[in-house]
Amino acid sequence: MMGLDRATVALLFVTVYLGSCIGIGIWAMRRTRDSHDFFMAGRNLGVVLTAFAAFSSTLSGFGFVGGPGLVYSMGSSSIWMVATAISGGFAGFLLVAKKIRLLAEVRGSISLPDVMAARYSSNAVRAWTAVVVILGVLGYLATQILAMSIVLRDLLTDAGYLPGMSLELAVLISTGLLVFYTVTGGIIATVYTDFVQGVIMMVAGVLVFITAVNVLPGGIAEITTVAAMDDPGSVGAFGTLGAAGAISWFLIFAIGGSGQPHVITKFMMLRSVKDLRRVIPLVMLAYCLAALLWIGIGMAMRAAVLAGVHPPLASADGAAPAFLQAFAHPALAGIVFAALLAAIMSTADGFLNIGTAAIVHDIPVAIFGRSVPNELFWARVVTVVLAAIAALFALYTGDLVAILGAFGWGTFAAALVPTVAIGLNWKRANATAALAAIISSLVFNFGIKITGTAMPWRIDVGTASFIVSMTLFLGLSWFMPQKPLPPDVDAVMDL
Amino acid sequence: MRAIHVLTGAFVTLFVLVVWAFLQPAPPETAPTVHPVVSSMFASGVPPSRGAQMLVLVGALACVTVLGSAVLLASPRMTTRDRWLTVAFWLAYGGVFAGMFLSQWQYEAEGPGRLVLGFTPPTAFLLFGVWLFPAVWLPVLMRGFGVWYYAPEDDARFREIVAEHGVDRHTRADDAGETGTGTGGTPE
Repeated sequence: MMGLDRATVALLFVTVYLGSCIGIGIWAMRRTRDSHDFFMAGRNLGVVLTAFAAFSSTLSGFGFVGGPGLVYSMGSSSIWMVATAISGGFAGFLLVAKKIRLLAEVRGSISLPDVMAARYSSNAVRAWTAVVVILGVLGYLATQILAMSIVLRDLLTDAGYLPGMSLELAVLISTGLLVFYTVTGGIIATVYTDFVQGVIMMVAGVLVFITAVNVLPGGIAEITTVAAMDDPGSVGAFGTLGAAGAISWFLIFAIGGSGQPHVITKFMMLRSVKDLRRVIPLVMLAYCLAALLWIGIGMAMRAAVLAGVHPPLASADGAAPAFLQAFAHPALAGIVFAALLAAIMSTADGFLNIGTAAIVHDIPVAIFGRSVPNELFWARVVTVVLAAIAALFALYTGDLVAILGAFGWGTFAAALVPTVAIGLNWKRANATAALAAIISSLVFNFGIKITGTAMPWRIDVGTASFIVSMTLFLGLSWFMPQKPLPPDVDAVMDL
Repeated sequence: MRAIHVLTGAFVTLFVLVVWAFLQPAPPETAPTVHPVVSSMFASGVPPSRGAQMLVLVGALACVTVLGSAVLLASPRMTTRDRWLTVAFWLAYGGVFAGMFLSQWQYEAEGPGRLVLGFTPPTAFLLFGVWLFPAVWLPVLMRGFGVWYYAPEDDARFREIVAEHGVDRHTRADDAGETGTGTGGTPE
């Protein structure tokens, strides 16, 4: 790396990473023969691929930019988002992983709405689940494409290539890269790139944490002491947010994972349910290691600024780039930039896949009672169209992207944890309760966002929405008469 | 008592707390403020009353109950021994939360003092307790997985279900545009 400046080294790492994504896309194209391969990887994934696909889909670009920014600005508060990795992993994945995999095989399901339609014997549940997925996909995908474009543009500009590059061109390049391997290789390319992306994220997490704790000579103790002398609350258990807000994050991030469609559909692709014994711990381990970056950078930068080692940041989201610029070895900065793109792309490709399934498969089945002819062809076409729409959203509809972007984790959790995670484990749950949970979550979340209502005690909007939807779901299921289930669904739910 | 009853009780508790929160907004001085020197940071507000913090602790314990009952709901055929081990684990996890709150209240009263592995005591509770302590349940899962989560008998029974009801891969709708049961829709 001698003789190369920091920006060029970072660009070199990113180029190698992006090249590997393209290579995987070409390789996976030959293994994608029908729509089951395209959406479900032939239901033949092993332990490591499934674990890394689930983990890397969970950790989006937020974990590499927004997360460290939150720790920098709020202290310990946002650690509550990652402190759920093990307890939430047990609860959420045990609830969902087995049942979703078994029911998918019995019914030949290729999407989450498929499984929900089977569970509740209801095309209305299928349609509303698909609506939730599509709305979430548009918001998430647009924000991920925007983030990827900004990172790529800054990298190319800093390295002296394409100076003055427009955001439109960056969006075009980013979307093109993303679309290439998801269209050619479908979910097979996605999970193999997820594996590469997951490894990069874990390595980056560990290396960055080691660097971060040495930013001040006294290590973690000095980082804590500096922050505590400035504001003791910032290094207390709840940070500056306060206890109610922190606990609300704990609930929604712990159990909410079992309602994230881009994550839980990965379990439908598992070769054998028996593999879950090793998949679940592996997901937890990978997430914990990658999360070290989130915590390490945030804590180190807050202390570095307060100690006068680094000038104040203009915005909290600048914590990670500033840390890499000031404290990281150029090679480590390169790895982290590759990891950042990996985090963004692994989430985006998962959304692209489930959004395409909802449009090509679920909506036509819900409305017309049958899927489109030649699903594989149309899946590839719709992947391109969906990515293009998301790119246009990212560029030209700022407020709408913000509203849909806020859709995020909390709304998926509120809509789908009751319907999917509880519904697959409780025979008394019914379609009316499922629809009530889904619709109430949409109304609550969009209502709060559009009206600008402030939440009391800084409780997370998604958490409040989740508590309301779950209470509705449980209440309606308890008070309505139990309906008999189809024999195959009933038998699977007994396992 | 079944896991679903416990889960329902926990969510009713959380629902009541959310309604209470809407009816009793937090005093303004408890809100975080922009840091007086560095505008990209926040500074803590005044800690709320002990009564309000007790309610948050109740909410936290309800959250732990949600997670514990979810594990039990997902594993209805757990052996009695593992069921008790699991209940004991989640009670201990609730104890970690209670310990963390006590530590936080002491920290708020006395201010920064000794550190535990480089962190303040309440943050050490958060990192090594809330985050990492649940790993102690991992051996229960690893040992019991093939007994009460997905036993060989379950696998054999599942193969029977697939043989009886399952959709053969080659007859699925896929690219022919037919749906059959392969779309997971309403069964015949």
